[in-house]
Amino acid sequence: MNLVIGSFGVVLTLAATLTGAVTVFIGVKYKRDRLRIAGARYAWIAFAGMCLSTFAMQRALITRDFTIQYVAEHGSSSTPPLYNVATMWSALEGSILLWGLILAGYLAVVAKKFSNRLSDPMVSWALISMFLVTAFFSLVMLGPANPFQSFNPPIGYDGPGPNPLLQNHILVAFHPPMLYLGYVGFTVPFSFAMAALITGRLGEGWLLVTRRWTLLSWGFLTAGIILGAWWAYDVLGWGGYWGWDPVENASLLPWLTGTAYLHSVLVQERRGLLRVWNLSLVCATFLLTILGTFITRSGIIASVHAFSEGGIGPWLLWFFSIVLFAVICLIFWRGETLRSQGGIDSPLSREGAFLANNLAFAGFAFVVLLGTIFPLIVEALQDRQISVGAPYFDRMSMPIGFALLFLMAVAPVLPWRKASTELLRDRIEWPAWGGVLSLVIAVLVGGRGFLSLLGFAFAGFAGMSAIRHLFLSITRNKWRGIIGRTNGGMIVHLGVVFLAIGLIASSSYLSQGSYSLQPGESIQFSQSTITYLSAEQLTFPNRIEERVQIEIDGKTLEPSVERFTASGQLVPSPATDTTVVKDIQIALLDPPDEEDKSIVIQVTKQPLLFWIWLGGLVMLLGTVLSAVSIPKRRAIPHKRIAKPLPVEGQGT
Amino acid sequence: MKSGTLALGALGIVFVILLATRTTQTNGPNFDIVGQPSPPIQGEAVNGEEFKLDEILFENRSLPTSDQVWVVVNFFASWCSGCIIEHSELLEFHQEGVSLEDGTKCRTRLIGVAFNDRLDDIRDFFEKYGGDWPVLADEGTNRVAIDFSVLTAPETVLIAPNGLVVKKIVGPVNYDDLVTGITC
Amino acid sequence: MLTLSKSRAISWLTMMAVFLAALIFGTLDSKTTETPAERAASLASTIACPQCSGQPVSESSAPIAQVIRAEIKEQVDQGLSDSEIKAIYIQRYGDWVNLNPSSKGFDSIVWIAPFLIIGIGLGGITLAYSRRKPDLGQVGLTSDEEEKVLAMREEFKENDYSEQASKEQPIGE
Repeated sequence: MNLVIGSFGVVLTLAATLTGAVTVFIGVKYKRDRLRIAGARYAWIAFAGMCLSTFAMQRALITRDFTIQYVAEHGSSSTPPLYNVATMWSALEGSILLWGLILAGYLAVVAKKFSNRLSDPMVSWALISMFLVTAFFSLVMLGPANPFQSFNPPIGYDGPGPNPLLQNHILVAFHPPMLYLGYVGFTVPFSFAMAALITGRLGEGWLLVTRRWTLLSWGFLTAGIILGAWWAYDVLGWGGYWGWDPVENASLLPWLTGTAYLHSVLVQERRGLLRVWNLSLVCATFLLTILGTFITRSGIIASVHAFSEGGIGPWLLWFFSIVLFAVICLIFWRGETLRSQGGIDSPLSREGAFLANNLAFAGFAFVVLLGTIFPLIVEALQDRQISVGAPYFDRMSMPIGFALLFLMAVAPVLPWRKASTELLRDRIEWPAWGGVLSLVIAVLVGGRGFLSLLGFAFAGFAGMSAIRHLFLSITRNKWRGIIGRTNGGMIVHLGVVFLAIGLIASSSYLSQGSYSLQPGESIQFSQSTITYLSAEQLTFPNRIEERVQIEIDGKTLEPSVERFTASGQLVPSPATDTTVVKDIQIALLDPPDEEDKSIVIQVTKQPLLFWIWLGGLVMLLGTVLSAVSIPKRRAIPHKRIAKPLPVEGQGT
Repeated sequence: MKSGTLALGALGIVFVILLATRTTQTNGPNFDIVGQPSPPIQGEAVNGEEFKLDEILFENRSLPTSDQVWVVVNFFASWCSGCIIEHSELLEFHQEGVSLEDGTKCRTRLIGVAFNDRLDDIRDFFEKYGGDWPVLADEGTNRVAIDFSVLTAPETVLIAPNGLVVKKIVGPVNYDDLVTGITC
Repeated sequence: MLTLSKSRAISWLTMMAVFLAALIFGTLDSKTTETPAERAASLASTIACPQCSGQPVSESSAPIAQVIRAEIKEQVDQGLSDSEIKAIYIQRYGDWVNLNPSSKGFDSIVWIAPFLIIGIGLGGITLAYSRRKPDLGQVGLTSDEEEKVLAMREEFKENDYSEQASKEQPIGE
């Protein structure tokens, strides 16, 4: 039953998106408004199809319907109920279903939001683009990543459950959906960019209508990445939260180009400049989401996060190639008409700073992409295996980080068009004091080391620049001074500053050690006393847990090791004590035996680690405030999308 | 602009071809050990027996070829599904031994080396699936695994009577795989 | 040129002095030698655990990773250099166990290429900027025009002063 509903849903979505694309296309080509409107309705049918499939899958998972192969391979009667819902995205086929659901959802909302502008060819082409992308993913679900295959379970069969690492932490229910809401959301600005290229209306119009979508997607992607880091930190036990693993890099790449795009569009909206940059950045962001999915699911790069492959690699690579080909062809066709009229007046200006910003983020994205695929290049050219790991990325991202902090400090004080050095010097005075102040504070509380201290100084510099802007804005506009795009943006910058401080402090001043302890024994670790109190064993339906009680600085932490009965996999479950000032994490490396009661623990202490999560929270707060319109300001009239530019010999 | 776009397009084609021609990655198992003298293996088995590879090899030197002992070392873990699959094959090898076409029986010793595993689980494993060959499982055994460049369970190694490693099988073995190559 | 009032100038100078003082103090006061444990830990973060899909041995709970970490500690205590220790593992498992790509040979491309690309990007932008910038040459006044301007100024002042006198505020900085 579930199988039938589920498969029907996928087929329905495929049929609806293809029909919709064709209908709207004919409507655009022959200027039939009726068709365009009718075509848009197919978006809802497509969404309904995905809802049906999701409903069927969830029902199958919750009722442990082992006649569906996906449930048989990943579900289990011993998995706790919440994790059964999340099992839908814990393996390949289900994750594509989640992608399809979110994509169809965005498609339907776009159709709704633009329902009174469907006669505009730009909207039509954007819809066609979204229909086609959704069609691709539903095709994948009928092909290599079919979540609804039948299975004949022997009597008394019980599935193994999802990977143990995916059933011991609540974040499994939030991190992937957030990430997907971000990834998939970038399909919308991308589709409008393609529509702009096709219709030749390359002015600011397409940027304005997609502004909120971009912000929303970026916000979700940011949240998804930070939640992923938090999850890693909570679960791994080494105090680590980011390993530059290929799959992690795959999520970072679109974030980098997406952030550059978010900033760069401001220049095009204000001055009509950087058009090629903006088109390239938004197309790159979408392409990188596809590339990222390919890297994660094709298995060509080894990663702890990689899903099992299964033939989906070639499909994703083909899709990537086709989209890349389409983008390049369109840009080539439009040629010189793409270029903005006029240029930047002076490098010492807001436009100049944003251009430098684009370069910095593009450079960062290049570093991450190169590092991730370099082993493949070496293997192809020289047939040897090498690795490019965290040491490379850590070292390369340092100068870029400094550059970005510097730009964050300087750009908000630069005026548009041109700045005199006097003006700059006056405005930069307070931020400069902020930098010096944070350096002094860092030295006073014990921070040492040239690069770390310089980092704190730059962070303070950027932070004070944001605070200065907010201060001026609040004194001028009272409470309205914190909402709206620029003010919200300054709050996001403040969040980034907290994040940076947390990153610098936790990585520069980390202390770590492993110790073997007998029951009752105490040792000294970095100004703290650690005592092994007691141990116990707990049995759950799907696992056996060996838990120990450790006392540190008066608090009791309970790290444990869990052995999942179905797969026999041993999963460590570290215990963390978080304060604003420092984090202490204890992982149980070797649990006590019947014979040998001693344990081996790993202790990690990192100062200011909490500031990373705090920074993330402030970033999200800023994003929300950014999206709120300032009530006094007149809304940009919807109908006003930029007039077509005269393109010689080519129609609109 | 147009030339730039074309260049980018060309780069894109190269990039896609690069990705398309890669095969799935696994850190390749290391077969360098084959053809080399075996690293030392010694320790106390789970059942209390002492096992020392050097002793067997030393004895082999004073024995005629037909009496020399071949050693099969099976790296396994109680939690690995492949090990469960191959266990019956190992049982057969242990009980039946190796008989050549002309009926001569060659002497073989089978030992297991556990890694990433725990004593209780190993005992349970053997109780459940049978088998009474010595299994090394003390701290030193991860050392042995490193010496043999063992990547993951199960891996099985065949050591000739003179101490040379002649074969390494990665993944679950079957009886025929184990037996091919043994002569006496 | 930059014109600064005295108090602002002092403010800036103080700022820079405090900055340099704090930075220099913080740099010099830090301990310069690495303890053996720290050296072992940093080495461990550059060597991949052989069965862990690319994780360094410092971040894996697999027993083989624990053994290798212990081995590295021993080797550091025995006095082996970083490159010698790395060479041991590369010889045992292959090049891929070294997470830090080499800076010699073909692999150095991964270190150089980003700087090259950013350099090209900067160069391209500078080129585009210098090409596109219209020639805003200083348009000077001819001596006739200059005289005219001076005469007009005098006239303006005379007319104005007679009407507004002390209401005028001097134009400040």
